[in-house]
Amino acid sequence: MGYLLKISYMPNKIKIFFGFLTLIALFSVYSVFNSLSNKASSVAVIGLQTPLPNPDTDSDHDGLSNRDEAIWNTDPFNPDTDGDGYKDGEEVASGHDPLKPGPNDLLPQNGSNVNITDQVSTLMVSGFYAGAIDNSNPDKSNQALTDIGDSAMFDSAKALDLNNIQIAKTITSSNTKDDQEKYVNALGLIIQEELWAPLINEPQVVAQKFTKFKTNDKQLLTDSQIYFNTKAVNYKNILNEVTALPVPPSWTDVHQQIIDDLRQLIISHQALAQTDSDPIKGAAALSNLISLYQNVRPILTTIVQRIKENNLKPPDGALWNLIVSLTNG
Amino acid sequence: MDRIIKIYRKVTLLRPSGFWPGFIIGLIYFSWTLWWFWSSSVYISLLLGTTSNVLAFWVILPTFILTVAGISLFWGFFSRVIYNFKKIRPILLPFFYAGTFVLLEYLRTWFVGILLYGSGGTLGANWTFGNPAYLFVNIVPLRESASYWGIYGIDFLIIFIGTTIFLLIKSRGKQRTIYSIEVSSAIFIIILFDFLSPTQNQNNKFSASIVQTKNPVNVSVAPENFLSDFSKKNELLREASKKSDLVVFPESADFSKTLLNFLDPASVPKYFSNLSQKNILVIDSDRIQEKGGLKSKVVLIDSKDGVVGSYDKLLLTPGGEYFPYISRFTLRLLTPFFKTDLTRFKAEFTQGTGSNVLYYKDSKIKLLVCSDVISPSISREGEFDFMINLRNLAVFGGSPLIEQELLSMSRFRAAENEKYLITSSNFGRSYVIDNRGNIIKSTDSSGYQILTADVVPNKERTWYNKLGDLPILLLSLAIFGLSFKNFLYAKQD
Repeated sequence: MGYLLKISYMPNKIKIFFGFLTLIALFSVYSVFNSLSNKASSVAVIGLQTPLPNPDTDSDHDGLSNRDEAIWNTDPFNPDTDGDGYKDGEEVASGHDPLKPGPNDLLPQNGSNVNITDQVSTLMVSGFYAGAIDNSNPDKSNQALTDIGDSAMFDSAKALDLNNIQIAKTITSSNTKDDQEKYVNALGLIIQEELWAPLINEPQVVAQKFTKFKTNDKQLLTDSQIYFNTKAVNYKNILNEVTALPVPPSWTDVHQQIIDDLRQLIISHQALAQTDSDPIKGAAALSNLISLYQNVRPILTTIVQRIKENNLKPPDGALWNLIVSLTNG
Repeated sequence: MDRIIKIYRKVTLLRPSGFWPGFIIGLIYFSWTLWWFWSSSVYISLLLGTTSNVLAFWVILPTFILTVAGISLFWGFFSRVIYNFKKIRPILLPFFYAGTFVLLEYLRTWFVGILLYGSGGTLGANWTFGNPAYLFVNIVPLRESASYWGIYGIDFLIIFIGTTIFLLIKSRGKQRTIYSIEVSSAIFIIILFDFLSPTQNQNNKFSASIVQTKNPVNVSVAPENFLSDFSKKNELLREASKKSDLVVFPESADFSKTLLNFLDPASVPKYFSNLSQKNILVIDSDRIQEKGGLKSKVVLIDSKDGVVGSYDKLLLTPGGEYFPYISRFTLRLLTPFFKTDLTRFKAEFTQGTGSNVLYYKDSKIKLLVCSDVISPSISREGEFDFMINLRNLAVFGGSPLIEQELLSMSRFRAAENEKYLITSSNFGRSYVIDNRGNIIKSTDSSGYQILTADVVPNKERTWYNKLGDLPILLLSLAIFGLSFKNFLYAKQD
């Protein structure tokens, strides 16, 4: 062995080969370190001894990121904010309120609580035993399966009906230019900061999180449940902000559409969080969301057109400047 | 010097005899040529859904070593041929060496396609990286000769002249005269090509603008960057539309797709129509998920008539747009160490199947998306009037090494077909190259900007455009056969 390792005894071919490998390794190490040093950026902490916690990290290791803690209003440095013995993340994932102690702290579900997947399974088994699903009679079987499918679709539509979410009565203002601009500005800010920006990456993230329900990894499953439940609460908070705005009569249609979209977002995210126990409802909610992502964007053009028609000042912000520029002749 | 000669002799005598000098030169040359593999480490991490640079390093390392060593084998074979086939008639020797080199280079190009094959891979003589012809891009007559015999013809000439000069120095008497005549003839041919430079009718020229961007590659986009990038593209498109008939975005600009994030579908045609009083053609590139998979799609949009054509990228980039099987194998081996299933890739593309020549009014436009330009055959197929190359170097962080190599290739593609070539780039410089392969205009930096230049369409077809590499390959094969026969006779004697 020692003989082989002695360079002077190595055949020239081996020497050349090792020489080349060493050269590549040196260049590669240099290249990786070079790219790492280019990527590292210094963080300037101005006037703060302790920097603010990173919103994407989980300071108290309870399963909720600091950003999520802000949405749920929980303590980012206390893993069990309500002190009931369950971590905040566990409570959110299982549909419990992390701010309310005790076993009876289930979050209110806006859709129907019927488990559609269980119901379909029961109907299939009953149909099989009652003889309605029978291979020897294809027509009868097909009819029974169609009926079960129809029933599942009907139940999904009922569970995801946006009227399941009750909203406060609309506060109406006047149609004066001042009131309209106040409304447009407030709504414009909510849309730009809280709706449009997160929605850019949401379709990909939703699709990615949904696929995690298919894995056997408990951690990934919990992450997805937390994600969808947190999103639902986030949209609920936005809905509260929007419903609190005084609406000029000439904007009620736009206002109503935004409220309906938000209700749809809430109910779909709540249903998606239950995909593990009710996959049929989850799939229906995903399909709902995909259509919603397509439909939610035209509202931006509608708002800008209405602003132009009513001769109003557009809301502040880069998003609105851009849409005004895109719709200009 | 004596020491170098001594080492060279030692290396030459290593078994298999004559193989190692070519192989070692290949290792050094191709390591340098393919060094840009390492620039893709950040993108590979993103593609695998991690932020681990260590992982990217381990994914790239085996692919890099296998590719460099694999293609260096061909240069090793070549040096073995030089070393072992000396008994051929002197007059044939330079031809034999040149022809053998051309055949091996062509096979090497094929080999890269096989080595980097994957679900989105294309087999064929496409990956011409490292072809020595590209090193001679600035020698005008050589570059222009590509319109007759392509880069392999230039390889032939380079090796022919190189070996003839070497043999001329080594030989004496009659042989020296033969080699002098041969080298003079080769130089005469090069000079002749200078006189055969193409001229072009400038009457039907039109103005084209490139919208150059600098949008980094990201899996998840920060909203403020998304807004800022799109706003700049919008401003540049509006400005370019005022002065040009054709506006070209870079690869993956996603302009028309992103527009739907801000406007309802009914307002989109109005937006394009408002860009100019006259009809202008906007060429955009979108990453679109379709039934067949994720496509890198070039879309031709007439400002008044809407979408008039599209082309899906043919030659996908290994590591950038799909994972070669050898990288998949590495990932399978690495999976247990990184505690995550690395074989679940994000954003793998599917190659297109349609033609890359699109018709617009009276023009036939050859569309090449990024790596398409590396392939002389994909670039020459069909009849066309001018060429457009949309590219995105963000994957490589704008590596100047790959940018320089792609520029040499683009200049050769323009010269081979004698067509203008417009190159619009995301990360990196943009160019307008004329039908002789000269850069007539380029951007001076790599940020967001417009480049406007006149483009002259050309309907004439070159010999290379019609016949491709077939003539030079047949010639090389014939020379190889003849010389080999001669070698066998000489051996018998």
